[in-house]
Amino acid sequence: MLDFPTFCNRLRERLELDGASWDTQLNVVETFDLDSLQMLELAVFMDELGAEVFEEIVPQLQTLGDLYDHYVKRITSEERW
Amino acid sequence: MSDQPSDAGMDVESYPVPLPRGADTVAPLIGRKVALRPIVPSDYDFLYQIATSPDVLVGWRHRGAAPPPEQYAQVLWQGVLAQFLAVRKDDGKPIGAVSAYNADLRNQCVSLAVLIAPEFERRGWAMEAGFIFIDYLFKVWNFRKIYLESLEFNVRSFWSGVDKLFRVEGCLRDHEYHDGKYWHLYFLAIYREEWAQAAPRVLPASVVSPEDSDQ
Repeated sequence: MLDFPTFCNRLRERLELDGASWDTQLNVVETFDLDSLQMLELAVFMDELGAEVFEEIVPQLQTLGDLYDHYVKRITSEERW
Repeated sequence: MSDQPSDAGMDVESYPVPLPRGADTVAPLIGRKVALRPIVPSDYDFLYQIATSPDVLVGWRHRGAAPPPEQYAQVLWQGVLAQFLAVRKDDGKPIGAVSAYNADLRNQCVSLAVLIAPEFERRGWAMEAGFIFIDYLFKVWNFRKIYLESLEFNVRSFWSGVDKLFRVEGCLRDHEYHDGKYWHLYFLAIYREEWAQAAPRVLPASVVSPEDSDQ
């Protein structure tokens, strides 16, 4: 399982995002004004980590903390099985 | 009598041709949330409804002109090389269509259009349907590039990809009239080489490299 800094670095590289303070409170969607293409890249990135993002929970996943918590929950629930 | 050996005694394993392949040679048409399937006549009503919806008309090929229903099937296939219905992967319900038209096989390019029902707009469905289809077009035909036209206010939804995946090939300034003003019309192109780089970022591995993901 990725730790939080590694998760952030991978996401930053993947979406080619710069600047801002990358902490759990950072609202990625608003701060970087992600467009539809970047939202799709974000969804594919989460899929690859084993943390599929279902459409109904997208509005709840705004901050880095939300995204990382979702990833951790999905990974740990997979591991239990 | 020929001196050539007959096929009868040939060792098939050492014969220098690839093993037979079937459906695995065709690009998969299933993404994260969207799948593409062939259009059948019973889909025409749905397509006519969304193609003539006031919310969609400005972005679709007809550009505000609604064709008569009895002529729609003909209009739908006019100049088309390939087109599919886009459906939800989870329940198979139709959400739109993707179309490749005005193919120029001599110069190896084609134009792309994506039609999406208004309730699925700006939620990533159209983009995914378009990308699955682009991957299909590049895998099935030897196109160098795929063109798309986009009005100024629609380019905003994929602006991060402009000059990386989407190359601006031209722009007609203040070209199209909508809602009281004239808007630029952009001509964009996706190049085969750049698509190969971008595809793994926007499509599941099962689409981009189905052989690898099967393992």
